[in-house]
Amino acid sequence: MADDNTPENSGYHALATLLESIEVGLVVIDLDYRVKVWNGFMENHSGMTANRIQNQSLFEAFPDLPKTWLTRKVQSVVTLNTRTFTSWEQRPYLFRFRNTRPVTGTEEFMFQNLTISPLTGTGGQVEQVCLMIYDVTDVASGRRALEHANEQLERLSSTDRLTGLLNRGTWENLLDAEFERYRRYGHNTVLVMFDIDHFKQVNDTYGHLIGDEVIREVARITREALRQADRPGRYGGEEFGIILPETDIDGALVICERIRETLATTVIHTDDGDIRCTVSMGLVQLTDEPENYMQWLQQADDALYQAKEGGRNRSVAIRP
Amino acid sequence: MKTRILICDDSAMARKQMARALPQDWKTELLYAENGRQALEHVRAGKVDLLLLDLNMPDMDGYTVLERILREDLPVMTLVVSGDIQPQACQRVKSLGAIDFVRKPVERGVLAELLEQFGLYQPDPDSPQPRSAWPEVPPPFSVGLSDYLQEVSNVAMGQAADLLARLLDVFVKLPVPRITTVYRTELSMVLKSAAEHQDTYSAVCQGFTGAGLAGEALLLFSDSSIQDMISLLGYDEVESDSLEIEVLMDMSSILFGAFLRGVGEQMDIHLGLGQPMVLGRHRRVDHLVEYHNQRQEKLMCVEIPYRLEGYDIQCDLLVFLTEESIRQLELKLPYLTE
Repeated sequence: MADDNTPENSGYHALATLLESIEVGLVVIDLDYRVKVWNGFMENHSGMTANRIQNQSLFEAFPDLPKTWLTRKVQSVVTLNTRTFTSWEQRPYLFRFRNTRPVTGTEEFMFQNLTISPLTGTGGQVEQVCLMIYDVTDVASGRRALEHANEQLERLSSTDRLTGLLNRGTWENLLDAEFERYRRYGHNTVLVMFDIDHFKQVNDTYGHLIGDEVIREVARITREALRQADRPGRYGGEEFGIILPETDIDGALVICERIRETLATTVIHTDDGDIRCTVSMGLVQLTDEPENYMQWLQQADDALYQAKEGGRNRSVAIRP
Repeated sequence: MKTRILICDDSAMARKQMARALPQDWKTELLYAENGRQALEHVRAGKVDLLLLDLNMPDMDGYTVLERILREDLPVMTLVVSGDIQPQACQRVKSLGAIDFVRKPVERGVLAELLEQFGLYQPDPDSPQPRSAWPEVPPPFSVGLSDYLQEVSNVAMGQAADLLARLLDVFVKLPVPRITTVYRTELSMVLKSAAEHQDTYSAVCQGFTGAGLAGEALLLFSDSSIQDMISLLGYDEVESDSLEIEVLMDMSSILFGAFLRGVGEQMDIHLGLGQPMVLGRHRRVDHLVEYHNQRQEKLMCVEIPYRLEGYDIQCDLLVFLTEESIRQLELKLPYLTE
């Protein structure tokens, strides 16, 4: 046994202190998942001391650990003798550590990235495995806050990003306003709901990118067929709505048929080939019957449903 | 009598390494070929006793050369020297008549032992040990940086593919690595040309640095391949969204780790790896890096399109080296290719 004060020993001691106090979780396990090293970070966050867990099975000490998952990762590290990385995006945490920041902490648990490294013995064989656990709560909560903010911005903006038409929220507000205007002045006004026939097939056959192109093209043709005061909007996936103010049902039918026929004869050129598509439309002129704009919307939806039932690629108008 | 040896490899660096690995006290006459077609001409002309043959070459690969030799019953012994170290590659070339299989980079001792085994070479007991580092006639070509990088990548790629093959129990078809110089501003263009299909892509990036060499490796996965990959890996217990990230991270761990270790070993340096980062998922390939191309910098790019035999799986490994690393490598090149 060497003297404790040799330079090597004090160097080793410094290194051990460093590993003990580093703000990264360090766990060394043998191939039977028995814990050999458990540093200060792990002690502090888990409440389990190194003495207590020394030589214990990791899975017995922490029954909540995802055993199948971790075993598979460790096995591939051992067999292939290569490091592996996992991120909080695939699994938020390995060890369920409570967030310890009462002021700045917005998340309930510590998000963790994990690196699993093989440790070879003198013979070059993998004998142990090191788990390094990084606290990435700040990164994760930052990313989540950003996603949240983007969602809000999306809601706040008035146009639909794909088509440039009004988005659903804005369009519904206009519909509500149009409904109120009718109640006050009684001017003719027509609501149209329409959607692309068999759109699911387009998506399934060509993929979402081409599907998006089709939606964009339908929106473009619709916009070009309308007048200045008309209000088209994207209601959902492949569903659109148009408010036609100062228009009676016959006038509306002329406009809608023009859109429908143009679309039916248009070939949409995409990178994956030429696509044709048709639309079904439901039109309803507003009367005193609906009590709110939602009931008006429901009537237009019913008309759209009849158009679908009637064989698609057609307009169905509900007359006052 | 001198043994007539033909070294066939598309890489000047590899030809040089092979020539150097031959026992120095062996009386030989060296010939070189840059592709399978040239090699076959020499063999047909009866000018070759022993053929040292690489497998992955652009103009007629090693497998085809072996097939022709077998079919035409040409009198030559062929020793395959390859970076493709998958067990299946070894079996395939032996069944095509190769006498044996040597992994790149070739070590002198290994080659001498094999040659002795096949009775081609007898060490001269009287010959003094110090063997000059060069054959009597130095190879008639010099090695440039991109040629060097190509060969280093070739060997590292073979090691990565070997891990993949063992993990998935498949055969990985190895291409010839492509070395290009690009500007950061052209990144999206590079990715676009790497992508074959009108598909959406997902990508993972991992930074590496060590001994003056630094850069980033990027793994580009076509989304249709990910589904195949999930079933190939037999992952089924988790829900699909995090499963995709799981596959991306696993594949990148294996391919980057093995590739960069292979590169490091050949350059005798240790490369530190950063945490891999998902660059984007289900995006058009040119949108993956749209926010990342601000600075003007010249990069060196190694591109390796991995394909799995029997599966429609497309997975491209792109390794970008920084401008500073290129400068460093150029300085070290004479020593590295010595």
